[in-house]
Amino acid sequence: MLCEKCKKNSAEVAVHEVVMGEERELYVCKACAGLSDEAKLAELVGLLFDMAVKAESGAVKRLGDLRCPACGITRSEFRKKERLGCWKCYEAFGVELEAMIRDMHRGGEHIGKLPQRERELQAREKLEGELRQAVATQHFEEAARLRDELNCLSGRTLNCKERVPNVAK
Amino acid sequence: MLQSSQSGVAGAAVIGGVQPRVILSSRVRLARNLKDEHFPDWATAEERKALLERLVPQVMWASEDAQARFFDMSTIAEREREVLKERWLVSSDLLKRSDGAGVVVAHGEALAVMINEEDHVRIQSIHQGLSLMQCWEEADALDTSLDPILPYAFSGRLGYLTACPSNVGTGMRASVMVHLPGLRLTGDIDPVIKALERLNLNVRGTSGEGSMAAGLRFQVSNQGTLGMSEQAVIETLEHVARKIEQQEIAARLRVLRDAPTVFEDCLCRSLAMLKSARLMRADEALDYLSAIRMGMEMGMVRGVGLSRLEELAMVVLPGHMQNFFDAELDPDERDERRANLLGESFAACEIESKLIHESALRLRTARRQ
Repeated sequence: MLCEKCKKNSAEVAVHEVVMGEERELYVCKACAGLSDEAKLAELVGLLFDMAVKAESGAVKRLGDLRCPACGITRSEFRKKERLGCWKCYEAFGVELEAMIRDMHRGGEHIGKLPQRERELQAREKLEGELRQAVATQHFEEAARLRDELNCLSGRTLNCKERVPNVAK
Repeated sequence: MLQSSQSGVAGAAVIGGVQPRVILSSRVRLARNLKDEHFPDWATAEERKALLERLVPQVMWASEDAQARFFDMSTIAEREREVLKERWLVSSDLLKRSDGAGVVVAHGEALAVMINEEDHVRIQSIHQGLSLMQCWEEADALDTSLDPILPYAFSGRLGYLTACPSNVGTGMRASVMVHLPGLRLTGDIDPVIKALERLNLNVRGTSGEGSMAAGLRFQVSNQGTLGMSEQAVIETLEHVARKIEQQEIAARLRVLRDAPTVFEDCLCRSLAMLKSARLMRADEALDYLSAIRMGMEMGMVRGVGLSRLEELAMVVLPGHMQNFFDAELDPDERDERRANLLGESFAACEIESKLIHESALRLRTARRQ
């Protein structure tokens, strides 16, 4: 009998699998019986982790006991579950994550939508930079306009036209 | 690998210009998490429950739909869980979680927000056909409404922070579901999948066995979420989806033209099973329905309509089967009732064998000219 999965090799073992929400007994070859997708993913994450640690050779011992100060999970716990404990883990496990993220994604930095707070923050930083520049080069009219815009952003001036540049676009 | 799309279009004109629907549906999902809360996998049941209680009214409000419904995974009936999954409203992952996990479904079923799945919030928008931009706009709108009331975990450099680093950045997974029976007949599924993977796209069968998808439906989605804007990802995927559609139509016409008996055999064999089997598994049924759908879209099937076929492709699924018969049925009972239902539904269905061979001849003649 041919393997019910790959339909190429001969079936050697019976495995139980949930197909379309129903448990079935499938007769499959050894290769197909090997690993589920989830197990493969776990293996990959583990592998990436090891690579990251090796890449930071010498740092292995130091990384060994790493623990996120915010949620308390350790890097071995993260490895086991493949899920981070909280958003602060991104800082705590920065070194390993950096390498994992490089392997998983094309780019290294976020491009796209920003939360409103972030958009406002970036708009403010941009205006502040421009204001410093305008003052330094003695463009005082321009500086006054920028100051008003900044005040607008902070809501310090009433009745000003809302003008929040959309940095995202 | 395959002929150009031009001959596909010309071929379609020869057999009557039927426009097959290769792209069945589009979906956009956004992953969001909150600062200062443990991610669901590390939160205690109490923490998850408290967060769920807090998020449900907020999500209901943001959905702007007075008819929005909430399903709590800890209290929902087994059959209902299956149905939600079969309608793509929840993931298998959410079904494994009980305490503090749930889903808000709104706007018919176009919008679904899973709470405490792998991430705190997962917004999904789904529509028929190639409609990724509409899906993105709707998911984006809900996200924008939630933004001021939820302190999202975000980093300027890494974007939205997620429980698994594979989702950081936009947190967006855009996908299209494509139906590829023609490429299976020409043996081109694997090369197409490999080509898509080289484009950094992820292809998987929809709950089928191994690499072959049940009902030959494949989900194609973006792999990376960092370093590319949502719009850019969607534009790429839409472009690729159109290419897949062209290739699939070309493949169907090529089989019809060059191997009409193979085409006919595929349809007749599938119909015979649907008409005569006494026991039928769900995945098996989807494969046969897939072949009949292909035949129907090319005008080679008589006696059953496309809407009935689409309805059956849903009814044969385990949860829907039990709802249809309004009874708890074990898998063996389901297989029997499923076979009976399909037998009745396809009793008057026939394959236009003569038309298949005539069309093949016309396609061959058109090619020579």
